[in-house]
Amino acid sequence: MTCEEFRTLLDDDGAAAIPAALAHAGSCPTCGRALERWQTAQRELRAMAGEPAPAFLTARVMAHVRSEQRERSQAGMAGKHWWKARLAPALVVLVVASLGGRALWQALHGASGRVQEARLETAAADKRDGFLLKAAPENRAAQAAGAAPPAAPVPSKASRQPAAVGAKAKRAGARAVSADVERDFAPQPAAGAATVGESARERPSGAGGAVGGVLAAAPSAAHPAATREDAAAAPANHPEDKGAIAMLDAMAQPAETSPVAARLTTANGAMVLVLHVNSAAAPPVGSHWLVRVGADRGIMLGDATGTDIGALHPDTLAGLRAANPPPGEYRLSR
Amino acid sequence: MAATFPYAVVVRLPFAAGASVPREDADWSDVRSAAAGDETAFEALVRRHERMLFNLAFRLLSDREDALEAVQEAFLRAYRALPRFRGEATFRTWITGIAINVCRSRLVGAEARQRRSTQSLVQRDPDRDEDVVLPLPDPAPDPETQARGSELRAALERALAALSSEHREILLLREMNGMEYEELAAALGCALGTVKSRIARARNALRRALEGVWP
Repeated sequence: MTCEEFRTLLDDDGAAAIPAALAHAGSCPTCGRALERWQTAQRELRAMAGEPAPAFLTARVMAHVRSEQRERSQAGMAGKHWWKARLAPALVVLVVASLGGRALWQALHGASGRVQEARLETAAADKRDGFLLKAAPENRAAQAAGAAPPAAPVPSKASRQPAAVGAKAKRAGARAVSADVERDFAPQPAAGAATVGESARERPSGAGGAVGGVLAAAPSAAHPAATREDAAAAPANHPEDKGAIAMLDAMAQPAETSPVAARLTTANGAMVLVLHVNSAAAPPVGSHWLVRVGADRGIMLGDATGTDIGALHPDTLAGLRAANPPPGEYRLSR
Repeated sequence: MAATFPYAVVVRLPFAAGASVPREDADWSDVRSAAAGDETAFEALVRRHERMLFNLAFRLLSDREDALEAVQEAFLRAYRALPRFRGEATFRTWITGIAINVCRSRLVGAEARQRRSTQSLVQRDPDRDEDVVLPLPDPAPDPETQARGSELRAALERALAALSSEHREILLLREMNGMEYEELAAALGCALGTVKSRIARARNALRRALEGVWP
C-alpha cells in the first residue's frame, strides 16, 4: 500500500478497519502519525458531543414555545369566532349610534313636537272655547260693549273647571316649557285656584319684555271677567303669541343640561308646584331663588338676595308664567 | 345466478400520497403528543436533543450566545412544523436539518455583518505619508475555550474553525454526532454519494489543518 492509498483510505474513514492500511501505518512513520492524529481528533470530536448544554436552555426554549402556544390558541380562538370578534364592535357601534340617534332625534324633534302638539291641542281647545264664548251671554255682552271681537277662537279660561284648565295649562304651556308642571293648590286661596287656571299663554300687556322682571301684566285674578275679556280680545294667532311660541320653541331646543325638578314653595314651605326645567334654569342645589307674583300676574325672578335675575333665566320665567301661580311670594329651590 | 361484482372497489386510505408510516423510534410518541399540543412531550424532546444541537451550533457558529439563539430558533421552528412532520426521518435527523439551516442563515448574516464591518488592514500613516499594515488580532483562544480543555482541544477547534462551513458541518455531524450517511443525506438534503464525497474532502481538510498544529 502506498502512502497516497493510505491517505485516501484515511479520508474515507476506512484505514483503521483494513489490515493492510494498519500494516502500512506501522511501517510508515508519517502515515502512522497521520493515523494517530486522526484517531485523536475523532476522540476529541466525540468528546465534544458530551459537553452539556447550558442549564437554562430548555427553560428558554419552553418559555418561547409556551408563549407561542398562547398566541396560537388566541389566534385560533379569534379565527374560530372571527364573526363574533368582528360583529361585536359593529353591534356596539350600531347600538350606540341608534341610542345616540334616538336621543338626538328626541332632543331635536321631541320637544318641538311636544310644542307642536301643545299648539294643536291649544288651538283645538281655543276653537271649542271660541264657540262657547260666542254662545256665552257675557261674551256677547262684551262684544256689544265694544270689547275686542272674538275674531279668532279665544280660550275662556275661567269658564272651565279648574282641573280642566290646569290640564290645559299643562298641555299648552308647562309641557312645552318643561314637559310637565305639577300643581298643588291646596295652600293657595280660593281666588288663586281660580286664577291659576288662567291661560298659560297670557300675553304681556306692556312691552312684553322682561324689564324689571315683570313680564306679564296679566289680568287680575280678582277680576275673572276682565281676564276673560282680555283673553277674548287676544286672538290665538296674536303676534305676541307667536313670539311666545317662538320662545317656547327656542326653549324646546336640545337642553345642554339635564332636567331637574324645581319646587315652588310658599314662604312657609308649602309646596305650590314643581317646575321641571333644565338644571341651568334652576337654582343651584342648596340655594333658592325668590319669585314674586304680583296682583297683576307680573312675575319677578330674583336670586336669594332678591336681585333680579329674570333676564338671565327667561326659561324659568316662561315656565313660571305657564304655571301661572297666584300672586304671592315664593321660593324656587331644587 | 349469482350477481358478479363488475368493478373493483377502490378504498382510498386516509393517508396522503407519499406519506410514510411513522417510525417507531424513541421520539415518535413524544412527537405525536407534542404535535397535538402537549408541551410536556415537546419539553422531553428538547431535553433529549438540546445538547447535541447546542454543541453542533456552537462549533458551527463559534459563539455561545449565537448558538443558544440558533438552538432556540430551531426548536421553535420544529414546534411550529410538528403537525406537518410525517416521520419520514427520525426526529433527530429532522431537527438536525432544521438546526443546520438556522446556523447557515446565521452564518450568512454574520458574514454579511463581517463584510460590512471589515476594515482594511492597510492604512495610510499621515505622519510618515506611507501605507502601514495594521497588526492582526490575537488568534489565541478565548478564556472559555481555554478553560474547556486541553491544548489539543483548542487546536482542534481552531482547525475546525479554519474549515469551510460545508466541511465543518458535515464533519461535526458525522464525527461528533455520529450520524450515519443516510441520516446525513436526509438532514443536509443531498444525495448519499454527495455525502460520502463531501465527508472525504472534509476529513482531508481537517487532517491537513491539524498537521500544522499537532506534531
